Amino acid sequence: MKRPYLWIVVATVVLLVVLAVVGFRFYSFRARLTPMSVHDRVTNVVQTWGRMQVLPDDKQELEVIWAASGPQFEFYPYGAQDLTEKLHQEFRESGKAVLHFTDIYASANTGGKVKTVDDLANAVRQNYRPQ
Amino acid sequence: MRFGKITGRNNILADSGPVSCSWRVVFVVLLFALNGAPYADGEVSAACKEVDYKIATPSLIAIKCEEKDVSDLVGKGQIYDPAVGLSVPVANVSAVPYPAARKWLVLQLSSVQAPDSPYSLQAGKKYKLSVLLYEAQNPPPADITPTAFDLDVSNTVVVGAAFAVSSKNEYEFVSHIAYKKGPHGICQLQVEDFAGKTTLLKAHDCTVPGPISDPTRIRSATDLARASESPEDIGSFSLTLDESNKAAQDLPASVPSLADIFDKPVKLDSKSQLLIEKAPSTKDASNYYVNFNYAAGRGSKPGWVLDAKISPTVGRLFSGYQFIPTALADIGGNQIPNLKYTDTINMGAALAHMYQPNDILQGLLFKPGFTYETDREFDRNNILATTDLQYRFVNLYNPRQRRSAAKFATELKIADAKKIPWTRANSKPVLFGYALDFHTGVEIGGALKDTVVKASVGKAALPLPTYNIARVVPQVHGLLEMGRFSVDAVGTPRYLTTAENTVLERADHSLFLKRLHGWNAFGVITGSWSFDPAGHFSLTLAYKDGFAPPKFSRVNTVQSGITVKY
Repeated sequence: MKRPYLWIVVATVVLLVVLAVVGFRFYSFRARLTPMSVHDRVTNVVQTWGRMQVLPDDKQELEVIWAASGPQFEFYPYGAQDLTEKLHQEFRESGKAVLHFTDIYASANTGGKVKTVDDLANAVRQNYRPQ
Repeated sequence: MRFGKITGRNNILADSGPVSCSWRVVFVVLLFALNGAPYADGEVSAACKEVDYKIATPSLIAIKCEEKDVSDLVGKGQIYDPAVGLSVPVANVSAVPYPAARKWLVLQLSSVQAPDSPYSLQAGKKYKLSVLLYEAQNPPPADITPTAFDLDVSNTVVVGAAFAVSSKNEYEFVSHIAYKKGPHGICQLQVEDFAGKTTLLKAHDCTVPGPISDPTRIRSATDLARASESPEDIGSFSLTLDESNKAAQDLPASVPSLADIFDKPVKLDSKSQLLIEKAPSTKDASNYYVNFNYAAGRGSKPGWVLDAKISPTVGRLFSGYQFIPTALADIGGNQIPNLKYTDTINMGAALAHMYQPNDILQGLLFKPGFTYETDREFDRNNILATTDLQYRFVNLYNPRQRRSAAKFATELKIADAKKIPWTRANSKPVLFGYALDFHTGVEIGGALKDTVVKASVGKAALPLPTYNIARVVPQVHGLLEMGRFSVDAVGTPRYLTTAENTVLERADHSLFLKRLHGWNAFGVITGSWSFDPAGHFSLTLAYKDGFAPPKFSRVNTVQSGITVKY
């Protein structure tokens, strides 16, 4: 390969890397521009996860939300894992994992303590460590 | 206690009918006239039913409402000092939404004499609030009634264990009054036993997530939201004890250097206890199945059969994938000629992730892994790379548990509308449930080395040469439930694309080598009757028929026994 072409390739790669970094930073920055409490962010995630038309109520049980409007597979572990994954995406700036899916209460996981939307919002808030 | 607005059909006065309405109006007017000031201990529609409050600064209070969204409400009111009297307000109150939290309002206190000057609450006192709330985009209704609300400015702190069980030894110290400062990183917690002897417990990860370091600089709701996006973080302090508190009777007494906005060290609620948190039990988070049976066939003496599965979820999610080590066994003793259990032991691990492709195929479980496949005699040594895809189509996953929960959700909506308290205990579970799912998979690998297979009785032995394995494994799984009775059926028509070797035993215990290829199907139908409502313990009757790897010997058996599932 001739030297000018090599430089073009290198410059293109560097440009793409810079754009990717700036894009990611800008995305995170934009997310931070709109302040929202942990509780509100969690209820938004639950609404999307449970495919709900309206925001969930704090007292609603996650397992009941899933049964009423969620996709048709097991709430535990798969629904709980999906919710945990969505929360990790939403709170990706947290230095600590905001939740472990085994913390979520289900008929098939009675050791979990996170049963309602309010429990979930509290658990996430207690573990959220923005970096 | 409620803050409230009165609008439309929610208007209590209107709901009470014209006669009672006029009586109430007369009563309210008289009350105002007699008191000279509008402190009313009345009730209104639930524009904001208060569930929590935070005193962020001496002149700013955040109120949490039970309603989902109060971000369109504003209001005006007064605050009263009961020690002075309820006829003269000590300060004016203006209410605005908390900018970052839709369930919260911010109440700003200002002096009655000089409305531009903030009024400061005094530590240790109790106050009563009276606020008129209305929608910001509409003018305040003429017939609006204020609501009374009590405010306690003592700094008692409640200690509670963190919600998530994975957060072992983590505690949150919650106060209605904001913390000004607190330890960060490593700290100590002073505990006290019943004799009054104090001990310092070491802790780490100590943090005040929403400190109000300088209350004089927080002058508005916007300033407050900037200081703490989550109002729940105001008056919150958390720590993680280095070691579990072994003496459960020790009471938390204080946290050195933790102070509130009034510069007073916080006092912990004497009723608070450091409840010992259980570590996440593997069993709780796991998937266990143990089925112990007697196997019986025509003209044969019964033998025992253990059909067990252990597949705990280990570690955390990695990009949505969960690591699951698996051990499966279908083994037994007193083997019955011609009527056998599968004599299979599988050990391995897989990663699993449920994708959600579309509204028709709502779940697609992708489960790649590996398996070591052998038998009770360990004379098979097959290593396999496996991939299983499970398809969950719309309307095909409705077991009783899910249908009962969905029924409860519908009932709850109606009960909420009619203000009837309703819990899952009130809801009768549905009688029928069903599930149907489809799998496709591949098993690719080979027998590791030549082995010698011995007969179960006698000295006959035959070498088993190595071979390659390439199987296509479709599967259909169906479940039908009626009350505590259920029928579960699994059909696995396994196709061997390459010839596999197996050594089989005749009735006279002589051995012969057989090469297998093509379709080798295996099916299981299990009827269960569960003893407990949760279905953890059940009486089962299973019929197995077909050919299962690695032996592929003909199985045609009925097994009955007790099953434990967790």
